[in-house]
Amino acid sequence: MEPVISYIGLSALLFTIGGIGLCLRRNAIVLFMCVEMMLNAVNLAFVTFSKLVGNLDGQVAVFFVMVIAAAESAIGLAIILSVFRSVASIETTDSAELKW
Amino acid sequence: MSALAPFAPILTLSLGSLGYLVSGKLLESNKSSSLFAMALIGIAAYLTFGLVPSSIAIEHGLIVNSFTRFFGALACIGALLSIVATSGSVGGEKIGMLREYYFLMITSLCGALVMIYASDFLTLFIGIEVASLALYCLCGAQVTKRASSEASLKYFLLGCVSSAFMLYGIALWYGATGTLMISKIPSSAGTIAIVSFLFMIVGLAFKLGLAPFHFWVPDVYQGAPTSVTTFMSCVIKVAAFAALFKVTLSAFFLPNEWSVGVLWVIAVLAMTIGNLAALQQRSVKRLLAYSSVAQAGYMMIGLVALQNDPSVLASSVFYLVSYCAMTIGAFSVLSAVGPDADDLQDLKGLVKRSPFLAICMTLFFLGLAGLPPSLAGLMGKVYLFSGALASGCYGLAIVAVLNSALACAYYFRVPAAMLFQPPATEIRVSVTPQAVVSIAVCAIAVVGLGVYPEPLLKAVEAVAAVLLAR
Repeated sequence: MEPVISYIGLSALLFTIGGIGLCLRRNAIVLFMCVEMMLNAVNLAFVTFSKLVGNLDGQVAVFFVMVIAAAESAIGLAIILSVFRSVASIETTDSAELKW
Repeated sequence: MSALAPFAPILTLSLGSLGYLVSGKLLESNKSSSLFAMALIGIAAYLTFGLVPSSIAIEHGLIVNSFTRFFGALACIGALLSIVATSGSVGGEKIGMLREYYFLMITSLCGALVMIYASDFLTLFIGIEVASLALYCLCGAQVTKRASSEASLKYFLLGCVSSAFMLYGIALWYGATGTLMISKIPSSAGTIAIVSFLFMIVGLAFKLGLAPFHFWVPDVYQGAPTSVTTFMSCVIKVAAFAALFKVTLSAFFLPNEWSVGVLWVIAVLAMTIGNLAALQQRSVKRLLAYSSVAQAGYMMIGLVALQNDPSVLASSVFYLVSYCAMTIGAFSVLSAVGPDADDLQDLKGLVKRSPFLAICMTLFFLGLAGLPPSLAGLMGKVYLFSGALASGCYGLAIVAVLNSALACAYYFRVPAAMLFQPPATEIRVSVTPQAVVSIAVCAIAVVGLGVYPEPLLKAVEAVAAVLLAR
């Protein structure tokens, strides 16, 4: 039982670090890495819970999450590129044409 | 094979969308590719609604019942109306890649249908992602316009975060129940279920643009091409509300007073913040975006007041339908006025430049404000507010009524500018026949659903009955 708790703890920690990173950083690629970290925290939670409840649904879910994360990075990097082409910067503070 | 028949709309859209990728020169022009999209969505709309109303579930995946038929048809019809209305003006929006544009629209609608049909959390999540990933690209479709790529970046980053929250909620749900099916939560689930509920609500509130998770809404609605805004303001709202109803009613069924409290706070915040922020907007698209935040707040009343009076849920669905007609109409008019029409200035004296557009827009804005002659909005509000009163949610009803009074202040500004101010230019607005048809359909729906609401009321009651069945 003990190791299971520590895996859940690690997953929660990773999720929190990702969340804090999102609040503090302003570089689009770093923000994107934070999101990826949150998704991986979810994967760890899925695998741990799968072990805990004793069926494979959680491990199957991880594959789907991984595929979706891959699709997200493909689209995300393309969007960041297109922003860079028009603004010449990927700091989110420089993309501030739309406000209030 | 016959087991797959109920899912024909999803299959039609997903396989049909491949046509864009393999068609070569055939679907290169705006005309042919938009016609192909309309045909596909038309078939899908027929299939969602035309099939026998049987209830079928494939284990671990999708389910068909009168709830999914209603929401599926609503999403398809909304998508169809918005594509028909804007197909004439996308050319002016400088979207470089029309084939991909329609491909992404159809993919997004397909994801929305998967969200509506999903019977387990993993499928629901995949639907959300398919619908959103396509939309992130669509928002940035005007590659030469800075605001468009900025909107797409904001939408992408915030959307990914909301997905991560939703997904963590799903993982916790799995840990608490040992299954990914959307089924009643066992009472033994305990604290972890409450945390899971909170995470999922955060994720879904982001997608719905409910305050305090609404920051992306005005930026994305304004920055995205108007045709894309038209599409997302209806289709994504419908699908995300379907998902919210599923998660709160089929899975958690509001386990305790405390979670009703969370929904109450979100509803009140969304109404108030949406309306207050809309008061000071000059941009019509931003105004409509903030108004959509407030309107989503009104629709939450059905979920909050549900415990004492289940019939109020049907009123929420009724309001969602009338809102869809009004928002598609309003954005379609904006798109018909011009690809860059956004500021209030652009709509000044519209009645001299195109009386049809001005009168329809006035109808839609009066409907959003909940005033006659746009009776659908009025009836929707009356049903919702009286439902909230009947179930004893006096605080919520008072906030809602005060908010709709406050909202009149900004909803009147647009019709007043169109009808009573002199136009900046005398150039007449030329409206394409498709846009006329689509806007007229929305206007007729806005008036007609209020004059003759019985068929829709019957349908939404059936939908609510499915949701509340235990």
